[in-house]
Amino acid sequence: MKSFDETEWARTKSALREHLSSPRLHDGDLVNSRVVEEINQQPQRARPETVSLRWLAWSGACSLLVAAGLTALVLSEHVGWRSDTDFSSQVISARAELPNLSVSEFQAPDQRGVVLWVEGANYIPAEVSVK
Amino acid sequence: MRHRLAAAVLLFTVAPPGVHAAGDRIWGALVLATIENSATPVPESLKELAPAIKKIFGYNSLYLLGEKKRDLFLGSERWLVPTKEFFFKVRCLSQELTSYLLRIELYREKNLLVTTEAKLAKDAPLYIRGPQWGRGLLIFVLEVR
Repeated sequence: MKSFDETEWARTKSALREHLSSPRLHDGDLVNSRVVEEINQQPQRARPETVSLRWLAWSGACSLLVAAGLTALVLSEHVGWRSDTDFSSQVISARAELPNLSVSEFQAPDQRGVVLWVEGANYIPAEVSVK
Repeated sequence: MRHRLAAAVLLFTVAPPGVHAAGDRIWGALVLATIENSATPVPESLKELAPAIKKIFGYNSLYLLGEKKRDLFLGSERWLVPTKEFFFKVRCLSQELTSYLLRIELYREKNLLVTTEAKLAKDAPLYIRGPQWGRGLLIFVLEVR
């Protein structure tokens, strides 16, 4: 059983079909050609994919540059580009604690080591154990 | 590709040579240096240091009388006793990226012989010329390893 609204709607549709008709175009081809021409004259919009890819490439390259710069900065502060003396030992101060002793220091030749030269220590006979 | 990435990461994370890392230790040794007609074989733990010791002190044979290792860290104070007769007291005063500043006291039994403050870089030893013993010379070696 159809409802009242559906019946009314069907009646309205048939009335519209009878009395409402689209106007006919007298120069359909002309209108069509003008529309096509208008479309062609419009400036072509940039393709969003291309712009996006280029933007991505540039931002990636810039990020790499920034990362390299920061890495160089941090490494230079914490690790590197140090002189050989940073990897060599050195005596800051030295003193003999017994009056008969004297000390002097010098860098080990061709080495990164350092030598503390103690003079005046008593001779220890071979019979005395030092172990 | 994965291996290359791992290698790159490793390159950035591994400390360069000479830069100290956690777990550094101070090694102390007492060495007897003598002049022999034919040089004796160098003890294993002195292999790397032997050329320098021979060049500095002018002896051709080395004997290891004792050695000891201790952990090294900022503020540490350690007795380093390579032999009962001679030993060190080592205090770590400060720590830099490539070296440690140490106060080192050299004792013979209860007698303090020498006090020194030295900046010791890794694998760059401190040699201390000691007394003559018998027909040789006692040499003390301290090294951060």
